[in-house]
Amino acid sequence: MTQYVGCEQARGLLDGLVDGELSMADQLAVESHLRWCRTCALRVDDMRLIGTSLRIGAPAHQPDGNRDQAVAAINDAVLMRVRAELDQSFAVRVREMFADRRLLWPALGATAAVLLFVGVASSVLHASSAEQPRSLAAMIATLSHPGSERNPLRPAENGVSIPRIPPLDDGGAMEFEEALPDEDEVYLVRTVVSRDGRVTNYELLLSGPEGGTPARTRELAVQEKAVLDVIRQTRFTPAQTPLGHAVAVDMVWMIAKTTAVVLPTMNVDVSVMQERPKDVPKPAVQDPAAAPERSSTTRRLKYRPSATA
Amino acid sequence: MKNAGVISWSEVDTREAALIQRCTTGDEVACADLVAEHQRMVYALGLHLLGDRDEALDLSQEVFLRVFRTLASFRGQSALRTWIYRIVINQARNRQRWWRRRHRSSQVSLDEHLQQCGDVESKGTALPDRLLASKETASRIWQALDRLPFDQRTALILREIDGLRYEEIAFSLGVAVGTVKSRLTRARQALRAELLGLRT
Repeated sequence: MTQYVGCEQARGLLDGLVDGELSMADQLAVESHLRWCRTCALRVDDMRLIGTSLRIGAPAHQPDGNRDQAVAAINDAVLMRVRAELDQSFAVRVREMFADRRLLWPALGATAAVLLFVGVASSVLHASSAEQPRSLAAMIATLSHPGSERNPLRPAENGVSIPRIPPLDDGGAMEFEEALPDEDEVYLVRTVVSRDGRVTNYELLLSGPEGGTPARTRELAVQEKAVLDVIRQTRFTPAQTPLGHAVAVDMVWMIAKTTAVVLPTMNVDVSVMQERPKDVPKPAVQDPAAAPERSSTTRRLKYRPSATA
Repeated sequence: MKNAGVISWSEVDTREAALIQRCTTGDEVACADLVAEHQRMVYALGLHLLGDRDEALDLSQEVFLRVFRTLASFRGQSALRTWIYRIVINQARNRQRWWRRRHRSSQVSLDEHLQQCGDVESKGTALPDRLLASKETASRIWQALDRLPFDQRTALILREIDGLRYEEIAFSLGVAVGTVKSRLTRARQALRAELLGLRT
């Protein structure tokens, strides 16, 4: 029994019917539909008329006296070019490989994508292969070079000398004198002094007094910054091993400024106070109201910074 | 999606396989045989796609050169004829983009062609629909065909003039069979509209 198909379904099969591409069942169903549906039958007639018009109106099917000769000449021309192509240079062959422009942009896009991928991959590989500071290899490399900036020694151990600031007369400590505030203050700084005497790293362990008011806090911050600037610029005589090799050292040094009040009745030997050991406790701060007034007889004694391990 | 049919080497004609084998070894006689066997088909398709005799002749040479360059990579994924069709279509598509921009004005219409070359060929046994396909109808249909997009026009030409099956058209165009069906339907709809306009 033939399957029933409506117009809507039949229209989707009409092209297949005209082209002979339907299955037997579909063909029987559509032909059965065409027996009673005039609209679809006319549609099929139009399709067949279009096909017939195309075939009989095809330019290649028109009589042309010169065409046969021209087509026959294709063979000779092609063979001649095939022979000539064998003698062509490599560059010409490559150029003709890209004659098919349909693939040009996809090929360029793919090439750009590959280059981008290679770039990203190589940068990732480079980043991952770079030595990390916390890696075991980096630690071993650091430990294998004692006395370097990354592995500084401790002064006064194993005969390593203590880095010194040039004497006051040479101007080495004069900058501190200018940078330090008028009040008494103590700064404790941990620094790494390199083999050439420069401060490569520092950490402020103890600074001056804390400010009470915002204005005072800002003032102290400016002073602290001035002191740190001087610390950064300080040049030491490098520490040396007993064999005379310059080494980097990690040390803590104290910068202290203390004002001693010399009363008229006291007899102070100033020369004794030129060097002040670091463990000498700072004089207790007295009540400003109870402290004696600074008179013209008050002398300020500035101490050179002293280093300690 | 149903892909275009693929046939194996075993399904390729034995004589054709031998011809291909000889061509790949550089046998000039085999190359000449291959060209002679397909040159008319290549020229006709080129002429129908481009609409210009000289362009079609030039295209034919380019197609056969490309055939010989790439014949070593032919693995019998289709009949040789279908494979050559594919090359013709690709070459024509490239050429048409360039050529239409520059020589559109010099394209010869079918009317002029018929005036120069005479009326349509008549056969001894005329079918009823062929009687209906007058010179004017054919001319209008071909003009409408020329206005269709390249892919629709190619699908219709391969089907109606060259008589290729859907699978062969799909392989030649490098698309799925369903795409071929839809292109044929749209192309016929456009031409039918032209036909209806001709009747009114």
